[in-house]
Order: sequence, then structure tokens, then C-alpha cells
Amino acid sequence: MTEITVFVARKIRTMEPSLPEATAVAVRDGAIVEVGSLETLKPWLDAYPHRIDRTFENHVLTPGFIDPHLHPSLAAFLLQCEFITAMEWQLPHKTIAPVRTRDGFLTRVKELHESERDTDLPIFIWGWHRNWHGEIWRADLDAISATRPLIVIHRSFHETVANSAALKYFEVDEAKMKGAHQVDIERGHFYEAGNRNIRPALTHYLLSDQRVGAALKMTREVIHLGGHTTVGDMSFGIFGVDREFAAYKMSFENDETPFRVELIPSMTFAGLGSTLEEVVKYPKLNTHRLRFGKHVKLFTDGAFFSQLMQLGDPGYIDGHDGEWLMAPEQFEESARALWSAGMNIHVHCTGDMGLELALDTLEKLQWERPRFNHRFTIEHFGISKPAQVRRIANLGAIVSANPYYLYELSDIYSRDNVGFERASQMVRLGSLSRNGVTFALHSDYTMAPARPLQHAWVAANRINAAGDVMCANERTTLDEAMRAITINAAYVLGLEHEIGSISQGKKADFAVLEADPYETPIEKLRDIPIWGTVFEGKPFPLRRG
Amino acid sequence: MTPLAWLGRTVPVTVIGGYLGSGKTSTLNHLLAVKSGPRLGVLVNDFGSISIDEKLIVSRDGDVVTLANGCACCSVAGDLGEALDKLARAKSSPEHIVVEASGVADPARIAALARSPGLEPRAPVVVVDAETIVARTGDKFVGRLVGRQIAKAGLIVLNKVDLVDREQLEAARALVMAKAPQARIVEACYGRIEATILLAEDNAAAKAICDQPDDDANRMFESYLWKAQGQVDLPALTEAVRRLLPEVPRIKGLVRGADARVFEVQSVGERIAVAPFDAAAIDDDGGLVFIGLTGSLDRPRLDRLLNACLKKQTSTT
Repeated sequence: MTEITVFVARKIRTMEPSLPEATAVAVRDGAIVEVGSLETLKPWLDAYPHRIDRTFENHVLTPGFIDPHLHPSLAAFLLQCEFITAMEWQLPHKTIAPVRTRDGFLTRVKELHESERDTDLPIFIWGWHRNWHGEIWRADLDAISATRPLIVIHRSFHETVANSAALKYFEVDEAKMKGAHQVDIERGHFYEAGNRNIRPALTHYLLSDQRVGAALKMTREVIHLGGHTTVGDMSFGIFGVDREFAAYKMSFENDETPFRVELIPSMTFAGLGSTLEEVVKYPKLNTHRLRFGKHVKLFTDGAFFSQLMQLGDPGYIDGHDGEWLMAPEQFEESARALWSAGMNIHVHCTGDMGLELALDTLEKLQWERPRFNHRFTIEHFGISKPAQVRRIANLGAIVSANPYYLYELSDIYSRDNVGFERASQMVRLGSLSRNGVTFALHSDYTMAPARPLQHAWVAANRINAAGDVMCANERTTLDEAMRAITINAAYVLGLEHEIGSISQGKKADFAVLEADPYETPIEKLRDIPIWGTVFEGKPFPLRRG
Repeated sequence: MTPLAWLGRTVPVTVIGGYLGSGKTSTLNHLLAVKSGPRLGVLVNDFGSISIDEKLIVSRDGDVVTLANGCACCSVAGDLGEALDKLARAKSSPEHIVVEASGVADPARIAALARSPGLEPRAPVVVVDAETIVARTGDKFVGRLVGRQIAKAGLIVLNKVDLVDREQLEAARALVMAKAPQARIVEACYGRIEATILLAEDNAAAKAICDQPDDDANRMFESYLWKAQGQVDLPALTEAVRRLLPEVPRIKGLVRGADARVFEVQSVGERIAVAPFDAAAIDDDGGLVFIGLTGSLDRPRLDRLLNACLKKQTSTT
């Protein structure tokens, strides 16, 4: 039998109310034998060969963080871009400082150009946003380089700007672009549907077989950097299930990968996604770190960053309408099929009408065929109405929220988009808590940085990027915020028996922190340095860049 | 790799929109079964719902199916714009592309995707379920969407008219006319509408409003009521109205013909329909309503043309 390893720590925050604090945890074969102190572990240590590991005696252990909703395959695209962003982003080997002016943006592009010696290589830049950087067009990029392809991608992904060299490199026929829909070729600007004239060539280049492996390795580092030991790919198969599974297997199913990925396919809509027949067969593909379960994702309304969420009255200030990603009838039909098959349904809902559709449907399904422990999960939870929270509770639904909406968008949306009341109350976690609704936090990476402590910090403080506290009454407690990135995130993935807390029999997955979140001033929560993680008993320090 | 290449010709693109269950697929099936006419390229959401007779399939090339009548059918998975470009330069080289919009899409937005080299967007065709449209436009989830779909249509196919009584039909018509003053309206059962009407549709007024922000649509139209001062010479009036059709997308009204009998006159697609009507419907000589883009109605000319159709013996009293 394998030797027991005992990790001794300054403090272990188990996230189990029965035994919230400990100082030692015994691990064997990747699983926890017992947590407590060296004294309480004695019967095990007397019975079996063991080793005391004091590496963490000045550190604090929590359960490994869990992000139940992010997108590794999209990250593989994004991480090949240089970041010039209005917000701070932490990447594996550097921290991106915010750039919030047009001059700053162009200066940074120039620096990137000058620091990259191979002048033929294209440079992809992500993060441009008019509110901060103003207008950046082809001529601005041509002034930086007439020969190197430079591509600027908008923070929302909905816009692309290319310089003349990039148009040539990616074979965009300029003569044919004159008058093309949502293309302004003079400015090198491709937006919304106009992206089809250039984006396929960019994707083809960035996700070529030669590049995708290296890109997923970067994704692995980003996930590790956040202190995660489990993540959920909440829409697996964006570039095709077979192709993606093969790429993940190559990049993640190895001893260098310190996390597992729960794979949640999307149900078919608009010709994409999987059918129920396919979904039930996927678990046969499971490997140690890559696992399908009985979770499936559905969609109601449009994207939050694009202001396409469906809002009930009084709607948007400018009067535009949101979008449905599935017709309500199709949504109901898909949900009913999944519900009847005993699947766990996750619903992308960004606006209050999207949420209303999810709840109306759940209420119908509960009436037709009552289920307990169904884990019907509201994903994102952007804009909601107070009364809807009680319905969520009554119907037994749970929430996986993206608090970064509040951080990045509440200031802009309060002034221009939906007004202060709704913008300040977006992602109303305090109401969920008051109504006893279980909730987790997610990044939706690449929509937000994959940094659980950042998201817990937003949940507990509700401080946005402008530095304002937005609706203090919707703050969570520190403990609720910590549970939302550990045990409750495990619950959302249906894995609370296996991961998410430090307790006998569970996976030995830990986040190793330099300070105790419970003894750190709450407004400093996101600044706690992460030493690294332990995945199934094996320490993985962060590589210091 | 060149993301976009085209053959140097321009292919018209007609988008067929309408909410889920309105009959878009039936309309398409009917269109695909036509033996003559232009070679169609059809983009559908879901192959499963299209009834293609296996005997008529002459080839399958990836996700493109080619039929004996020269039509090619392709399902849209992913980016519609890319699928359009691909179909436009397919081997079958379609002469006209028809796109089935998703039930939750705004057909005008889809039509805008065809504003691309080698493609020429036509005014959208929207299929409306006469039985459910009134309830749908009041639905809390899709009411606004369904209204928006109709608002920018060039041609509205009021479908399933066999399933409704006269009162329901009138309510559906009234709703559609109020929401889309520019649209031509044709009635249909089982989505059966003549291919020539559907493919010829290119309502200029609808195309103009497709380019406008949603809320401006209603401000774009004006209407003019020509009051008939007496009985009309029906054949002459029909001919006059037919000549006006290219510039006035929507014409409708009640007039008195010979022996003071009442007739309904309305534009139906590219044609003018004249039918006997309940004589009690009007207590005067009636008239015609003309609806067109603001600034486009030449009122003196309308008066001149129409007054010339009045029967001489009753035109002055």
C-alpha cells in the first residue's frame, strides 16, 4: 500500500462546517484519508507508513478552487493574442497593466511591434474598447508598421481591425470589400457579420494543428494560475466534439496537468451542439481528467457583453431589443427531453426575461414530472428582478453567477444602457443568500479572468472597476463567497461528494495560499498570493515568471 | 486561403422569416417542388424538416444536396454569412438564393448579411400563422420579436387561412397591416404560394426600412386616401392601379362598380385582386388607400389617374 503523506499547514480551511479549521491532512493515493491535527490523525499514522510534509507549514490550505463555467478552447484562441486591456489581466508570465487611453493603446502596439524581432510574424491584439481607447483604425496601425500584419480584436470579439499588411497576409480582397455589409475597408474595420471576411482566416491560422497544442498549454497555465483544481467546460465542443476531445486529451490528460475538466456539452440549436442520444454516450469517452457527466447546457437569451440579454419592461434605455438564442418553444422542448431523461440542466440566462423563460419552463416541468435534487442551474444571472429570486428558491433551482459583469460593466451600464437601479443590482447574490439559494461563481473565461479570488472579492465587496460600491445590500459574506468558489461550485457540477471541501474520502485537491482569506481584510481578498495547488496529493507550485 | 471569392455575377437573396411554426418550411418545400423556374440555392436551418424526395437527389457534396431540377439545398451550421458565400460560389451556381431564417431571427438582419459582394438582398418574405399571430404578438417572451419580424417584411404570407374563421382572419390581417404598412400580403394554406410571386418580391419600401433603426419604421410611411366620387369602371381602375404598383407597394379599398355593386380591390403581391364584397360595408362610393414611402406618393397624379376611371354618367351630380 502506498505511503500516507501528511501535509502540515499553518491553517486548513476545510469549507466543512462540521470541522471548519484544521492543521494537518493525511493523503494516500490522491485521496484524503483524514483531516484534523497530527494528534487526531495518530491512529492512521500508527497503522501505516507515512511521511510528514512540512512544505506548507507557513501556508494556508483551502479546497482547490473550482470554476464551473469557462471555455478552454476559446482561451486557446485568445491566449495567442497580446493583451491591451482597460482592466488588469494576470497571465502565466506577466500581469497586464490596464491601458485606458488611445495614446496608451497605440504606444503599446508600437512597443509590441518593436520587441518582436521576426518582422514577418503577425501580431494579434485583444482588448480594444472604444469607451477607453477611442477609435483605432487601419491608418493608425499602418503608421506603426507598413509591413508586419497587425490585427486588433475588440474586447467583445465582435469587431476586428486590420492594417494593410494584415489584409494582404490574410488574403482579403480589398476591391471586393467595398460596400460589403459591416465592413469599412478604408478603416480596415470588420464588425458583426462583416467579420466573416477575415475571421475564418485568423481562426485557421491560430487554431491550426501546429499551434493548438501550444495554445492549450497556455490555457493550462492560466487555469493553474487561478488556483483551480477542477473546471467545467460549460459548452464543450465549440469547434466540434471529436476534434476538441482529441486536442484536450493530448494537452490535458498527462501528469503535468494539475486539474480535471468536467465537460458539459450544449444541446443542439441552430445546427450546433449535441443531441440527447449523443450526450448520453459521451461518458464512454471519459479519461481520468476529462469527464462527461449528466450535465447539459441550454440557452435562453443573448450575450451580456453585447447588450443582447432579453429585458422585460422597461427594457433598454435606447429601446433596442435583446435576442433569443433558442425559440422559447424549442427551449421548452429541449428542457423537457433532458428533464425526462434525468439530466442536470444548466441554462445560460443573462437578462430577466431569459431568466423568466427558464423559471416558467422549470415550473411546468415540475408540475408535469416532479423531481428532487435536479440541480437546474441558472448560468450567469446578469439582470434579474427581486421577485424572481424567491421563485428560484421555490423551484429548487441553483445559480452559477458571473460577478465580473458587475465589476466591468456596472459603471457603463448604469450610465448608458439599463440605468442605475438595474446596473447596480446586477448579479444580486445577497438576495440569493437571503432566500437560501445555493450559488457558485464563475469566470466564463475568456469573458473574465479565471481568478476565483477576484470573483469572490467582487461578490463580497461589490466594488466595480470605477471604484464604486454597487448595491451594498447585494454583497455576500466572506464565507458565502469562499463557498461559491469551492464546495458550492462542486455542487453545481454535481461533484460535492468528491471535491470542493477537505474531508475524508475526497480528492486531495488544495489551493495553497500565502495568507488566510478569513484573516485578510475583505477588500484585500483578491490580493492574496497563491503559492500553487495540490492536485490529487501532488504539489504543483506556480511557475514564477 | 481566400475567405471570399465570387464569380463576378450577382445572385439575388430572398430571406423567408417568421416565427417558429408559422409555415416557413412548408413554403420552402413547396418552392423546392416547382419543376421550372430559376435554379435555387436554399439554405435551411435543419435538413430534417425539409421533405426532399430521395429520387430527386442527384448528388450530395458534403452538406450540399443537389436536386434533379437544379436546385441545391444546404443546411446552416454556424456562420450564416459564410454559408451564403459558400452557396453563392457552389458548383451548381444558383440563380437565386433562398434563406430560411431561424424562428427567432429578425429576417431584416439576416437579409443584411447578403449585403456582400456577389449577393443582392431582396426584401424579406415573412410567413405568418393566421391562427396564432394575434396571441403571439401579445406573448411576454416573443411578442416584441414577432412584431419586429413582421415590421420590415416586403411580402407577408398570411398562412393557414384554412384554419381560421373570417373574424380571426380579419383580426390577423388588421394586425399585420398595422405593423407593416409597406408589406404586400398574400393568403396561403400549407405555405402554398406561387414561386413567381415569392421570388419576384422586392418591395423597395421594405428594403428602405430594413436599413433603418427599428423605431423609425413607422415614420417612413405616408398614406393617401382617394375618395371615389361615384361608380368606377372596374377594368379601367384595375389597369390604373396595376400601373401604380411599382411605385406604391400597398393599395387597398372598396369601390362601387356597375349597378352600384361593391368590390374589394387590393394589391396581392405583384398583382391586383378584385372581388365582390358585402354591399352593406360602405354607405358612400368608397375609395382606395395608398401607402408608400414618405414623399413617394404623387397625389395629383394619383387623383388624375383614378378620377379618369370614374363612370361618366355618375361622376357629376
